[in-house]
Amino acid sequence: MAVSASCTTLLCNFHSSTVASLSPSLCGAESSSSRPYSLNSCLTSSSAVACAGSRRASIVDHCFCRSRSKNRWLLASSEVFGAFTEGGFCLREWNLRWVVVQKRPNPNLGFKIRATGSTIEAKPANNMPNEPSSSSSSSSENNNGTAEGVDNGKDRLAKVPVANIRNFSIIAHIDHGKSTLADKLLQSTGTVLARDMKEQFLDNMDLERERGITIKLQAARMRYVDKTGEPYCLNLIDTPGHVDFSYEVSRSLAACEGALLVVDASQGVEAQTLANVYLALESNLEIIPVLNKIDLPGADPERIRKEIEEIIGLDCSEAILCSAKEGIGIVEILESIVKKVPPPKDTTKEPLRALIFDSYYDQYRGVIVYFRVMDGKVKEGDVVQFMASGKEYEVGEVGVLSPVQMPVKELFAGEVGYLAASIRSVADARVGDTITLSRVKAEKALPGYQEATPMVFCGLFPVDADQFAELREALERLQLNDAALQFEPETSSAMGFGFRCGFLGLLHMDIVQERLEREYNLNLITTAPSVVYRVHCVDGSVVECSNPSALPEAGKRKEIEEPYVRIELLTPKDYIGSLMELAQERRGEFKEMKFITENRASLVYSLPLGEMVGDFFDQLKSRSKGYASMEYSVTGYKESKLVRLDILINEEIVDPLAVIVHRDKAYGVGRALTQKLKKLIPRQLFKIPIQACIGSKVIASEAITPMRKDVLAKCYGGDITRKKKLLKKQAEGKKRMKSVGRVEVPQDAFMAILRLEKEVV
Amino acid sequence: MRSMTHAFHSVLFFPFSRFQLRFLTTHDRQIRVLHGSLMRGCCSMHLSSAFSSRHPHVTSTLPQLTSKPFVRSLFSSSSSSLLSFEVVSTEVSSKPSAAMSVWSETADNDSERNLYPISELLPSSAYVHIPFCRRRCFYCDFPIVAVGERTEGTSTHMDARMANYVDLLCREIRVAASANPSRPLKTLFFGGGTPSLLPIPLLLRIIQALDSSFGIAAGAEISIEMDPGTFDVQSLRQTLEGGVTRVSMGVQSFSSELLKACGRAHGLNEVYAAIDAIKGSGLKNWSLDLISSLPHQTLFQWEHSLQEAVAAGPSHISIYDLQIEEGTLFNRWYKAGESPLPSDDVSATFYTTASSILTNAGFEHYEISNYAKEGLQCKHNLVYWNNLPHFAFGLGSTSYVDHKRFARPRKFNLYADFVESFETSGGQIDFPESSLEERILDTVMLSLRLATGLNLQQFKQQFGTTVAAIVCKALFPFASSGYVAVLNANKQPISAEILLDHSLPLAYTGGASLAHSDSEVAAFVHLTDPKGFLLSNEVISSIFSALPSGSSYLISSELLQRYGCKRDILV
Repeated sequence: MAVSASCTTLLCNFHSSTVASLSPSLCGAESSSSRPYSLNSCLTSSSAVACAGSRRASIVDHCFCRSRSKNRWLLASSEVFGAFTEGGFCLREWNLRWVVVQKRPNPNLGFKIRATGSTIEAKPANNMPNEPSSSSSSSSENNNGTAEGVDNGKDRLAKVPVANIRNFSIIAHIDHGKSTLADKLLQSTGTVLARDMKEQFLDNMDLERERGITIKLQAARMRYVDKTGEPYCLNLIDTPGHVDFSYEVSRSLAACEGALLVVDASQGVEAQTLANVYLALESNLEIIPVLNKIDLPGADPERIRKEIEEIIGLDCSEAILCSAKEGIGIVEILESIVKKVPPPKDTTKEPLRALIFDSYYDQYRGVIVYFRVMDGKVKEGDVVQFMASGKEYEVGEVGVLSPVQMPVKELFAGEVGYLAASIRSVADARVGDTITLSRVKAEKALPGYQEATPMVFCGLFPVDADQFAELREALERLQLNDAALQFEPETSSAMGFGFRCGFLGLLHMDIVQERLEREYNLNLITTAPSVVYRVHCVDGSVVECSNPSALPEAGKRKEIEEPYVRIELLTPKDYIGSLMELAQERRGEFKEMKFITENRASLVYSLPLGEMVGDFFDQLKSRSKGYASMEYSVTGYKESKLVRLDILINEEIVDPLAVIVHRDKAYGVGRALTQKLKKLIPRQLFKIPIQACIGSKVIASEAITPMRKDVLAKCYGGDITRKKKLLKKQAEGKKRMKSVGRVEVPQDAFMAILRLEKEVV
Repeated sequence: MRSMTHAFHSVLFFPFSRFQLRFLTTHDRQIRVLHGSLMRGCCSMHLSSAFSSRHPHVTSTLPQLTSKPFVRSLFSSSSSSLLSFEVVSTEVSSKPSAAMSVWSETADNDSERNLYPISELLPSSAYVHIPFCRRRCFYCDFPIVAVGERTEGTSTHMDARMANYVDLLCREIRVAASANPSRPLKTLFFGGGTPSLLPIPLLLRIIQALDSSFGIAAGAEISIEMDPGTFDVQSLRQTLEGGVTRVSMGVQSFSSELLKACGRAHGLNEVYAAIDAIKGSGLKNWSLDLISSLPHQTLFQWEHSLQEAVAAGPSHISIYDLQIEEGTLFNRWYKAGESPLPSDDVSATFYTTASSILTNAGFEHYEISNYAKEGLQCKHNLVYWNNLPHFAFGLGSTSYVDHKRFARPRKFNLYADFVESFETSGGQIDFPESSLEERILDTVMLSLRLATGLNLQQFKQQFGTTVAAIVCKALFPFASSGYVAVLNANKQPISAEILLDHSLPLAYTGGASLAHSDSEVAAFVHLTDPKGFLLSNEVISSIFSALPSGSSYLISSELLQRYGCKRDILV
């Protein structure tokens, strides 16, 4: 089969810079227009392209492919990229061996994917990030400059001496452009071809890309040939930017020798920048400051340079000015990594020690572990031991991440890669654990391993009781991948069966909830988040309690301790007042304030974690118009005057609505909750008292007057069907009610009150 | 022993391999048992014991069960009056719910026992919709055609339009009569719209068409809705001479501001003139409509309207609590229960005020919204509330014939198209029958609107013990809190606890003397006036939500599969 002429031309038009690397793997497309375009000759390589010529192109996320041998439809999901054309489209896929590209008369109308019997409509995306028209002008120079580098990409699996390995990560505050910079590095080293580039390549969860945050770590091996022609192997280890995941950040930093500190050239240093820089300094990393987004009109690199020097005390004279978006400064960054970041120690001869910085569960291969080999070497067939869990497995596959998994024979000290060993759960191979060989064990595990301890808890209940089993299954599956997630079954009269779940922090909680709802199609009610309280009982015992309804009775308690955090807020000076107010409202204890620059201040408070689990972060953002940032770390437990506030509906305690609050706030919270409930619970046949109580003392009370009228006045021949529909709807509503004693409470009321609790508690 | 006057009308068969039929006769109130066995498509029955001595053998061949499980089988028999019989599965009786009952009635006008035949009684009622109005009232969402005031300029056009509509009506009537077996009409209702806008000759044409197609029984109730300002004593007399026996007049309020506020086409003067016209015509059987809970309405205004209504001397009064319907101007302007509409509590007071004033004035509160002097209830509307079949003709009207509750198009052109195709199809309406489940809901919803309430015994016979027990259980909390009253067969109130008695013994509802145990059997449940009526939705929807949806509780799916029946046709 010959490559059709139009194909080649089209590709040239699209990606003039990438043609060279593509050509060898170009596959043939049958040019017959009536038949589907088929690709079968050269899918052995990692990429294949089929196309039918035309002018317009766009990226599609899905298309349908059919395995020719089995005549089965396969879903080629977002991994498949097609450049849309009139009358056909290019397709690229590396998992399917046989691909048939169906020609469609008008692809702009979208087309169907048929997979396992279901039909999904896919629409072409509106814009293609690397469309020639938009990128050619800005990146042509860059493309030319790195065309050579791109070409190196295909040799990236080649081994280099340990002295030529550079392991680095990027640390940055959210939105400072870390992921975009990573993308550009991958692109300019030819690790990912421009054509395959999704924005923020390393964030491969939909949720990550949508929220613009990195949750799970990724890594990428790149090949860079410097100006003298010396090849280097660069391993980028991406880190999550959020405080909830600071443990994971510290582990991935521990796997590196250097770090790029990316700071937004207009916004400057933020709270999380600081937190992560300190982590990096603790790990003795070489830090290369990079001022990003210099193309923005508000960029003031000089000011930011000074800011970094003042706050962090880092020499910024050689800070690199860059714009990841525009491709400015990328080469300089690569050069500087090679020059400044020290190579790993060559300890290949020593017994294997590899640090796990990430792991995830793969349905077919078990847990895939991402690690950095610190000492020794590891290869397929080795029996390895995870030193913290003690579990042993035989390595089925080792490879590098570049950024897709590519198997290699062996990994040496200094290298970064993955292994698959049919590991059953991420709990067996947790982040921070050390891998060693079971035959030649290392003497000591690498330092810094910690069990993940959940700090925030909440109850998760399915809206529809039938989904309980599904929820359990979903949580189990998430847990395979997320060792920090804890859950245990919980029952409540009002909410039915559910789970009490523990999370690392608020973002973690949010993300888990969202993934449950999105990826597992569950409809959930969440109770107000709470923290772990430490209750000292009269009999001298200490009970840890995260569930308000499980709090020992008042008579048995001597005191309650709650976790405190040290919270650091970085804010422009205009908002200092309102943030101090916020911290004070949340029982914050002022520690210190310093001006880090003329206009920006750092506020440090000691604050109960319980006060932070509500909407603190939202409040922080809204009161500072989005400019303030925060970082916190748990400092320990402290005694507080806490009480359990019970909500009674018709004299029955509603467990999931119970909250633990500070005594001074109990009245306000009680009033707010009872008033809201009064509005939410429909009138019933009898009078319903609603009370908020501390122990047996009622501190707020409302009453719902009995319903007096609910009648359809007219009902004659023509009305019967319609009136019956109304009554059926009403009956449906009743079925969705949860009963609290004799009172029927709509599900919505619970949800609304739980939302309110998050705000007022 | 009285011989059975009517044959079994129907036997609702059920694909059990073996079954029993239990008969209840009026003669000796004893249950006779009939054993039967059902082979695919064929049924044979053997009467047992005393019964069988007279009728040793009855065999009936049923059509293929798979084709239609609802089998009508006509038995000719001349035994003692048969009140009911019940099919009890013997072999597949793992669930008591599998018991289905069938019954047939003995006499047509067996009002004492309040037995209406469930299905096979042929319709003897008709509703005719006359959609023309001068203007649309602000609360109204009926299918109407606003034609404006009749003036010299408009009257020709208007007449032509109405004549055109009456043509369509008459065509529909004739086709319906030719396609459906029927009896002479006992009730006929001209609703609207404003039927009194129709020129009398056109009205007479419709009546004649009905008479020639169905026949109109002697003493039939023929009602017509009339609006003040659309008739005088003259035209009313002509209407009455044409056969109309009852007038329902839409007054709505005795306050001129409120009449204006709800967009009525008439004022207070026309109301009084219309009352005088009715009095002048000598008509005794007439009804007056009022609407409560109008915007800005005060209790004082409401009491005044009620007193004026009583003073007008109608034999029947309908009180409608204003309902804000979608698509009306009121819906755009107001929200139910919020100012300027009275709050729910005030509306409730209006309702109870009406109930006490009218009851004191000698009216019986026989339905949620209706009051009548003794014996002058609206027979036509009772047909609806007793869930009996009825014909309906005209724009947007709903008929209930052959268990098909069919609503005609609400748009004029579409209605004309409908009549066209109705004619071409020879009177066939391609519309599904109401399922058994729907019929249960209909029965509950409609009968609880009436002061007489739900006849539990009849309900049980119709729909089985399980369903009846569910309903009783759902009613219990309301009965124990005074929203629902439970009566025995003698209409004596009895304790609500009876409703929880799952066995629901079959009470014998006829005859003069009651056995002692029968007095402790729940025979009727009804909503109390006014407390229960006011919360009728709450009560009815609670029953609805207690009834499992789908007919699964009646028929297990394995059985359906075994016999290759689809669930939706088993109804």
